[in-house]
Amino acid sequence: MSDSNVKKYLEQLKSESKYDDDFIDALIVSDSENEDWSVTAIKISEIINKRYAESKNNKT
Amino acid sequence: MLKVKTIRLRGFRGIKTPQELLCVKEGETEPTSFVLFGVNSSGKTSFVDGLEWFFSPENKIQWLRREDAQEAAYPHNSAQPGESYVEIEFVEDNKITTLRKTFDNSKVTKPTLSDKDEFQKIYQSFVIKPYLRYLEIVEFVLNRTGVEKYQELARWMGFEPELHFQEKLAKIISQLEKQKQQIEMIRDDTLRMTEQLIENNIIDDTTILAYCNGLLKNINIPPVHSTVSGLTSKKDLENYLPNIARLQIQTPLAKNLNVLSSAEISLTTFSTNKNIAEQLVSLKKDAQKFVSEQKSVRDIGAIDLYNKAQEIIGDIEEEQTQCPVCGTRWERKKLIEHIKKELNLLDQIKLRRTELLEEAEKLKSAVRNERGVVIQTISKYQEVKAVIPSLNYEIIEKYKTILNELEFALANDFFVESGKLSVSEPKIFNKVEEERNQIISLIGVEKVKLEPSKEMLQLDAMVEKLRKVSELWNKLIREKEEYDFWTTEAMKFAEIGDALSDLIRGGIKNIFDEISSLIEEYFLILRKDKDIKNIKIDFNVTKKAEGRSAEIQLSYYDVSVKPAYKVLSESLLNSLGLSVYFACVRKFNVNCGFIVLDDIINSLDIHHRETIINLLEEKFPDFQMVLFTHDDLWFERLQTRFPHWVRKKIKKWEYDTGPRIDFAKTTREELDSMLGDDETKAKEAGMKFGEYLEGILHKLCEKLEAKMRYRYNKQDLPAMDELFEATCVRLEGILGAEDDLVIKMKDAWQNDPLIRNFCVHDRRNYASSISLTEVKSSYQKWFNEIENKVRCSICHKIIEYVKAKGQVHLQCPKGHLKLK
Repeated sequence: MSDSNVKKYLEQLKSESKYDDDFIDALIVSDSENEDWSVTAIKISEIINKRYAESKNNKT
Repeated sequence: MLKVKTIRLRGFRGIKTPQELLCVKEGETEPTSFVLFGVNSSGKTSFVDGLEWFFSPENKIQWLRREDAQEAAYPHNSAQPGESYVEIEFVEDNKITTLRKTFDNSKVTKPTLSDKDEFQKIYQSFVIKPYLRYLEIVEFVLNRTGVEKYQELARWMGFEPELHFQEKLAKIISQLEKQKQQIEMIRDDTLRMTEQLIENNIIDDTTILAYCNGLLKNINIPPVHSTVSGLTSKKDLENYLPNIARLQIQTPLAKNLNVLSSAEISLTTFSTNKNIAEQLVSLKKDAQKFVSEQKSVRDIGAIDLYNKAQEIIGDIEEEQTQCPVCGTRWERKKLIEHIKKELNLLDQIKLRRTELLEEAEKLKSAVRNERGVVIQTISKYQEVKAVIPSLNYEIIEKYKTILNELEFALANDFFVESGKLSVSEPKIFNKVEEERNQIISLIGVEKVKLEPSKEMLQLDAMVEKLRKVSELWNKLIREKEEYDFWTTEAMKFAEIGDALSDLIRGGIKNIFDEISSLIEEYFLILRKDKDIKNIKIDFNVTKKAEGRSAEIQLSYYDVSVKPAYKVLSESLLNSLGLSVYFACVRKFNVNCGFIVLDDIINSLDIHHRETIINLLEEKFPDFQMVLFTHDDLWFERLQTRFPHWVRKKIKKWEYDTGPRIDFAKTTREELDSMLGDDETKAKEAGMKFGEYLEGILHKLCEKLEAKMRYRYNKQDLPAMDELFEATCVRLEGILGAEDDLVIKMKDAWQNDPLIRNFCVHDRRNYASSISLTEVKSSYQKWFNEIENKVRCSICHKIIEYVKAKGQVHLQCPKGHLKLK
């Protein structure tokens, strides 16, 4: 039984500032709370849909 | 390091009454290694099951994972609630901790832990599980696919959380891709409707604008200007529409005409999705082919049974035996091959089944979209019916019902097992369009009946077409935007997935590289006899499970082989699996100082079983072994090589109580206890000593490379006389006739009355009367004056003949005992 390196890797990616912060944060929560993949997938979809709605509002 | 002092079981598996395995030698306090011998079905497995359950954080026993067994099979049949438990007394830094896991009959998957925190500490003391069972080894090296092997390595090397996250990422990415495909499918439907309306296969801003301007020209309205952004042109068109609509005359006739034209245009843009029919035919064909070519898909359920069969096959000793799953009779070796073959085949069936279900899932999405379009079309029919009451549209209603049925059928896996997937009316797709065309014709006729002017008719049609094209154009732009947005965002997420997978893979690659050299080191102890080197665990390059699949590769007589099982025999694979397990224990279990080993030697011959003892002795002197075996010869070797271990044997097993355990004795200890003052035991003791002597002489001849007569028949075993003669001649040749050992060996052979009798007669038929004193004198003389000189008191191995750099040596393999 060992501690996971996933959190360390995700934080490393976050510090590189090359990747989408919201997605990485969602994955960090997914790892720490041991979320089922389907829960995380819904959260990611919601982030994308929210952003799309915002982008539509900004255009109008 | 954590060690096990006592193991106690009660009411668990085949053990009814309390049983205790004490891993401490009499008169000592520190735990030491422990070996329990028991013939098959004597209750050994119950102890191992109990230990597996105790050390499993999930409270599972792997081989009982089948649905009809599982947790219900853990307690003893007649154990009362609360009576089934496994209790272990651990020792670490002189501190004793006693933990008990009690089976809870009301919550069979959740046993009661005596101290949750202390249990957690035990679980955290190991990375790789501290127990190994025979079939896990072969299964690991041979039967697992690259992906399964990677999963097992993850468990063994402690990177399971990383593996689970890799799998999680792959599923999320796949889910996002599916959502993107849904958006794409909806966009494609709109594209199809637009193509239908403007009668052009190329749909872009330019073609749509050209079509609109053509319509505007017909009603003498200036064209909408083409702009770089189609969006601006579309907005310009939208701005035109109210003014154009005002041109329509607002009379009841005009209103009816407008309803009919609006419905006519909508119906013109509707066509059935032909892909559904094609995909349905293809899926049906694939499902039928799958059912006809494969064994019954229901046999997938037998995967677990074959896995179980693999586990129990180690206990089968008969040469001819029945497959526990299909009942066919096989030779033992062929049965193993048969089971592996069946498992491989069933795994392929399972994979193909998954592919078919994925194909069905895509079709289901298309059907769902089509149903949406049909519902919209029916609403248009209803508008027309308000003007033409005689209108009938039963086919499209039927089509809607069929789509419903199809969606339901696809949601059910049954079609994969039966190969049956049908719609009640296969030609419905064409009939729907026929009905649509009839209704469009009817609308045309009705429009004529209304007797509008030619200009009115033309204007009405133009306005409706412009409205419709504007609506579709709007929809297309929105759907394209959404699709592009999703594509970009999904790509951003996939980039994170790739980067994270690279980091995980890099970390795991380092582990693989570090462990590979240790695996090779251990393998070379187990199997010096083959030219196998460069053992390496590496990632498999696969499309489906990139970075989540691994295999063992090696160099076999200088030929690179991957996967390793392609060229290795069962016993070599067993050695390889053991090397991987032991390397993982050494590398990762830094706090857990014990290993439970259950019949790990099954596919190895007696010579290679000795090399496991070498491995344990050389590389794991700091570890405590808790070993279970049904093999008496290996047990005998363990007793000889590790006299400081606690040795016990199961004398018998009874249903009402369980196993009856007693101390196990070496031959010498047994002889000592037999030869108290019971004269009736003299003959039995003599026979036992004879058997032992024969075994030792065989070993000495082999190790000294003593010359024996060539035998054409393997059954023609050398007699004791011949063994003694070969040993004495060889020893005399190396040490000289005056050497004390040579003199004593010759004296035993030629003058000891008991040994003389064995040499003259066949030991098995020897029935002459011997006295207790004779036996006692003979065996004490042998052990004290001869065996003590040829067996090393440190490594407990027999001397061997070694020739190096022209020099002859007679010594134990470690060089502690040197006779020359």
